[in-house]
Amino acid sequence: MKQTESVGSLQMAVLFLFFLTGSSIVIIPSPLTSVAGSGAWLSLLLALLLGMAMLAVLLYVHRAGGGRPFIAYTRSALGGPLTWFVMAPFALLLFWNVAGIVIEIGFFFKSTMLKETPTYAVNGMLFLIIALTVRAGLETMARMAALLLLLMFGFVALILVLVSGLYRIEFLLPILPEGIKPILHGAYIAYGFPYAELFIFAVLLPHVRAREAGRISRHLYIALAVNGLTFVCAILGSLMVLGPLTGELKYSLYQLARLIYIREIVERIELVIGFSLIVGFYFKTAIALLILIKLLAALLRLQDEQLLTFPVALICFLLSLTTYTTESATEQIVNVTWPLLTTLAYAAPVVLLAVVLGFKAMADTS
Amino acid sequence: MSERLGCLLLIAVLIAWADASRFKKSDRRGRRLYLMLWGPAIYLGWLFVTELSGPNVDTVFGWFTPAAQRIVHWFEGGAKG
Repeated sequence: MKQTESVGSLQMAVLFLFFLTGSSIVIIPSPLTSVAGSGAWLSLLLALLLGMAMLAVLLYVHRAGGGRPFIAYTRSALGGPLTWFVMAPFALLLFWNVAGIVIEIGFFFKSTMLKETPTYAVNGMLFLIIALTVRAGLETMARMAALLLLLMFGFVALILVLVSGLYRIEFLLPILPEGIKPILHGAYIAYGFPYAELFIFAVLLPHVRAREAGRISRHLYIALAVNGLTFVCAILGSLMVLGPLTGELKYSLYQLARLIYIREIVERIELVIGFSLIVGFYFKTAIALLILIKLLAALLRLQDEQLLTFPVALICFLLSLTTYTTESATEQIVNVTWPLLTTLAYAAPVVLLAVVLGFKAMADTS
Repeated sequence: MSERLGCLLLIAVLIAWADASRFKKSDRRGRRLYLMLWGPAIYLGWLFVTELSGPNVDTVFGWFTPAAQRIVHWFEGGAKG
């Protein structure tokens, strides 16, 4: 990693889209349908609206920061001690965020492809690749992202097209059989995972090239809209094929891929598709780890951030093996506690910063 | 247990080997912070190898679970009613 890495606004939007879509596209349809039934897509749209509002706050803070690094303008706005007070929980949650994505990959492998392989072997190999990717730096990752994003979105679209013969529109009804609260519950889950996580991009946004900074808002809003549209398509596709079972079966896109059968020529292709979905998990983890390392380096005023990559990856690897080791415990944290944790540790500091920067701007103009 | 210990030691040796030259070139502050990061890694490694359930990040997250459950129960109350 160079000391001053910079990427284009479109590249940043691709990273943003990858981060939001990465693991969520495989995981989110199941819990949302479990609580909101056929109205899961409405929950997603509600959470997406919240995501748009959160993105507006994030972009305001970024603009008010004037292109300086996130921690630099946080320090000047909040002061050193308060910066530590709000950023320590932010960093702690980000440590587990990185581990949590790999925990999910571990479960995905364990239940679909590598049933006999020890979890530490799967997680260890993944963390090795993730740490090496992060060590290559932001610019290299931004160049990688375009190809991997095409691969992931291409396979998602391919699954939804190839199972289209199994679609049954009647599975989409009724939408609100039990009132609005299940829809709000679904929105609560989708708000926490992935939309509230978008605040961690406050660390990366200052790396957009100065001459392209004006276009970043438009590109990020488009990325968020594409993410929402993809989620809605994945939820509707899963619902129309699996019906009420969508909420019972984990990794619904993978389950859809298992159903693909075209005249004995195209069948059992779920493993090929599964690997492309793994790309989403892998790259999302790499982006989160990169952000964590940049955040720690800035907080600790460290010149060489590369030095942190492997020890931080090791801590995240060990967290993935020692916390939430059962699927039920992971479901509990993701569906129940995670939205509250992300609100307190990710959203609250950035909103507080927005308020302080807003007051400072008003004081400067008056 | 020995498998886990072997795996962890191998990773530690590989990291030490990969970071050696960069560690030597870094300033005193960088070295101190680098070594400090090994503290939590060693503790978590000990939990992993011994399979004990000591205090961890999930313990901290657990403090927020009752409040989060109250929010979720409110949503579920609507579903039942």
